[in-house]
Amino acid sequence: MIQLQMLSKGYTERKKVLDQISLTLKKGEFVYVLGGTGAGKSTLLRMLATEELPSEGSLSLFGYDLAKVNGSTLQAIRRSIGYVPQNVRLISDFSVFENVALGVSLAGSRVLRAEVRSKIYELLDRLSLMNLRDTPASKLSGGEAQRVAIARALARGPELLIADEPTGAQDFQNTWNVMDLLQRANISGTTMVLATHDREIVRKLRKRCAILSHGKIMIEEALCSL
Amino acid sequence: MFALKLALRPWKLQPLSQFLTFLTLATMLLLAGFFGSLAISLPELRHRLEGDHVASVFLDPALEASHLTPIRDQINLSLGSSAVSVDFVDSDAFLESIQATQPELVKEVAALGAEKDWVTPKFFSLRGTLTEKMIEKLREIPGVEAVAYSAKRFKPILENLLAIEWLSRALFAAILLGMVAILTLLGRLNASIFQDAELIVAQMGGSVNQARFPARLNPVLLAGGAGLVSAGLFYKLNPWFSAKMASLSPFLQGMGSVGQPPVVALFALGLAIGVLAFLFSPGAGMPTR
Repeated sequence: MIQLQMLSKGYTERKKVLDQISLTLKKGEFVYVLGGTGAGKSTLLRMLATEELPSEGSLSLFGYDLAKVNGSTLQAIRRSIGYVPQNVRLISDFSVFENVALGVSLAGSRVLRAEVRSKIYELLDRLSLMNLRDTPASKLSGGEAQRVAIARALARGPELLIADEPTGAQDFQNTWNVMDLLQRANISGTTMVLATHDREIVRKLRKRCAILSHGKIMIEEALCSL
Repeated sequence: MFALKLALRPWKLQPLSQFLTFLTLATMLLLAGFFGSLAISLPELRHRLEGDHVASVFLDPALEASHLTPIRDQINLSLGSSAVSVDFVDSDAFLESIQATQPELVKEVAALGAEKDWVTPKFFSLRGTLTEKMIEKLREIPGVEAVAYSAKRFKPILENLLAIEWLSRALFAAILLGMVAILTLLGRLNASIFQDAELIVAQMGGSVNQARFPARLNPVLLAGGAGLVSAGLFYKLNPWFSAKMASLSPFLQGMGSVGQPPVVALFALGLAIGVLAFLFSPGAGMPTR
């Protein structure tokens, strides 16, 4: 499903953010990307979300080499991905519901059928956002906005979900609400790539992990032993 | 629905610039409507004046009243199927026509009694589209002494009308070009307003057109709305404008007011300009990756 081969990324000639990373993920896997600040986690996730291309090496998603795909294939790949970026990226004057529904409509459901609406409402309810569904995104707190971004990604029913620190701004209760939803999505077949600093999550929900340091994968474990 | 909400975003974030642009576009379209109506109605007036000739067919003073009918028939024959009015002007009618300008002369001639028929001209007055060939035929009719013909009496007026007509067309085109330029520039100024949404839509798998649609829809709505307002104003103001134009010269009185179709056309014109701006509208530098 995801294949990284000798992948490097550098924004300047001298310093590489990611240095010759190789990693293969099968469909339905759950992988933590761990590492300190500046280790290259967000850069790796941005590339997986097709926002950037590698400087060297290759990156394949769903069997397509991203450097070689045309525009329409790239769109199809993006429609299969749910991405929760670190900076959330919501449309500020759209309500919580509209932000989530926009993601669904772009994934193919142009008309929001009742079942789609109820799925969105269920997600909002599970993420404690139901009472905020008509609130503009600009009026949300950091944690609330982050949960909206998670709901938006999950509502699309993605094949691959990439989340960059999705619990970074959450309290204890919401952290586990989010993780519960991500786990459920994973069980129903969504491949999950999650960057986190939260050791508690990694310890409790033991999954495969790749630990980055200075742009390289230092440790890769099938069941994380942090 | 999402696209429409995003397209109206500049009204929320930059209401003043949107409102001023809307006002400017509506005013420009209204002016375009006036110039357009001039450009449409002046050719009609010009063609009518071009075809409005006057000829006087002077008769031999010695002719008797019984000769008038055959001469009239021959005149009608010479004119063929051309729509020309033929009126006989006898001495009384002639004196009446100069009464206002030459009252003393009229008194003197009237004092001559029965002899006045010898000193006043008897003629047929012809009005309509006349050709040189027709005039030549009229001259050959027995009993016709002379034919006075003024084919180019409106020449300076016609030249002026033609100049106004072209000026109206040029101003009409300039206004429309100006509107497209304003909307394109507004699109560039508004690009940053749509940037975040374009990035989000593209990231979630939307096409370039889907991502840019709201930014492109904004000028269409703006110009369409301005078209609607200007069409309404034009409908109200055009009779006044036409009346003012007609009061400038008796020649312009036949211009009339432009009816319903151009009013609808003004709205369509606004929409069309919006669509042009839609096509020229820039993206916010959205990355394809």
